[in-house]
Amino acid sequence: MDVERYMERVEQYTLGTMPPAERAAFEAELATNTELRDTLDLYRLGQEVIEQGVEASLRSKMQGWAAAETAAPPMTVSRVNLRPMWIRLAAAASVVLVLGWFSVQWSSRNYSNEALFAGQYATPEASTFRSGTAMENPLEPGFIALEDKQWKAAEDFFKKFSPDQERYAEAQYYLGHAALQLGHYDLAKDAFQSCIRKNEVKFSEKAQWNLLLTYVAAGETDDADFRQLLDAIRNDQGHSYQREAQALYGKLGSFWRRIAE
Amino acid sequence: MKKPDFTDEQLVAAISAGGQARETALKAIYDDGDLKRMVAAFVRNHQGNATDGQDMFHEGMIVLDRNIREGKFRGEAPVKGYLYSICRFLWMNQLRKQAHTSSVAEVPIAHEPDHLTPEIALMTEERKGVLNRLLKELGERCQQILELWKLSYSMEEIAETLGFSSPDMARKAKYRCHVSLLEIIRNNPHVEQLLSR
Repeated sequence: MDVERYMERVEQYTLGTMPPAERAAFEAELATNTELRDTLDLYRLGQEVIEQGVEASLRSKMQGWAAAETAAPPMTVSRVNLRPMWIRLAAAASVVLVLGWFSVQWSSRNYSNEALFAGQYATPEASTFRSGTAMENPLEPGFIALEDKQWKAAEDFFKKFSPDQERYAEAQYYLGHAALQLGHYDLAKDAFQSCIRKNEVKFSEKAQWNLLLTYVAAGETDDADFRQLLDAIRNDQGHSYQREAQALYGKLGSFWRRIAE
Repeated sequence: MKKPDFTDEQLVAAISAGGQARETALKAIYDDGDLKRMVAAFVRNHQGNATDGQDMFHEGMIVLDRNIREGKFRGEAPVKGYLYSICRFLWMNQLRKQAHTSSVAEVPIAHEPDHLTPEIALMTEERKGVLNRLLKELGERCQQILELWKLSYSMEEIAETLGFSSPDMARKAKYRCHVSLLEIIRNNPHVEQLLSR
C-alpha cells in the first residue's frame, strides 16, 4: 500500500475540507478501492495516536501549573498607617525585612536544586512503556515495578541487563529513572550515559535531558560535564529538550538562584 | 495582572480554535480554585485522597479539552459544571474498576441529570499502551510537530515554535512526520487488532 498516494485526499476528507462533489466521489471510491479504505483507517488511527501525545502534553502542562500553584508565595504586605516618622521608618524596615524573608523563601522554593529538579523532572508514565504484548516483553517486570513505584525492585531488575542484550539502551534509560528516584545519583548518571552511548534515537535525547536533571538533583550544577552537556543541548536547535535546557540555563544564572544558594 | 474573564462561549471558541488561545482558556478553567476544591471534596468523600482529587481534575480537564475540540460538548450545561460531571464520572468509574479487582465495596453508579452526562470515550489501558508506543516510535520532534498541527497551530506558528526557517519547511516536516507515523502504524503487528475494535 502506498500511503503517500492517498494521503492528501484522505486528509482533506477526514478534516472536512474536501469539496462536496469530490467527497461524494471519494465515498464511492471507498466502496471499491481497498488501498484507499486501508489508508483512511490508518489515518484515523494516526489521529488517535497524535491525540495521545496531545493529552500527555496537557497532562504535563497541568502538572507544571499545579507545581507553580504550590510554590506561589503569599505576597501580602500589611498597611502602614502610623504618623510619627520613626514609626513609619520602622514599619518600612519591617516591610523590607518581611519582603526580604519572603524573597529568600520564594527563591529557595523555586530556584533551589530541589525546586529546579521537581519543576523539570517527569517520571516516565506507565502508559508510555506498557504495551498490549506486555507479557512477551523482556522489560515487563521492570516496567511493572516502575508503575508500582517500586524503585528498588526496578533498579535491581534493570541493572541485570548486559550491553549485549537486546533493548539494553532502553533498560539503561529506565534504570537511570529508578536510581534517580532512589537518590542513587552516580548510578543514575552511569545508566543515562550508557543509554546515550548506545545512540538510539528513541532514548538518546531523553537520556541526555535526564542526565542533566540528575546533576541538578545531586546538587552538582557546577560540574564541568554538566555545564558542557547543558550548553550542548541548549545550543542544539534540533534537540527535543532545547527549550527546557535554555530555561534551566536561565534559571541557573538568575538573581533568584543566587539568593537561593 | 488581572486574569481575563471568559464567558462559556469564549472558552469553547478558544479551545476549539486551538493554538495559544486554547492554552489560555484551559489555564483560565484550571485556575478556578472553587472547582478544584469541589472535585477534591467529592473524591475525598468517596474513598480518595488529595492526590486522587488532583489527578481526577487533570484527567477531567483532558476529557473536557478533547470533547470541546471534537464538538462533543454541545453547550447544554455550563463548562465548569460539565467538567465537574466528567471528574465525578471518571472517579466513580475508577472506583468501580477497583471494586472489581479488590475488596473495595461495590460502588453505586452516580446518577446525573441527562444534560450533565458527559460523553466520555473510555479507552482500554491496553489500547492506550499500544497507541503510546506507536507515538514514542515516532520521535520527539515529529511528535511535537504533529501535536501542534493537531491543535490547529498555523504553519507560521509551528515554524516559530520549533525553529524552522520558514512555514514551508514546517509544512514539509509535518508531511514527512505524518507519513512516517502512518508507516510506523502500518508496520506494527498489533494494528489489525486496533483497527478491528
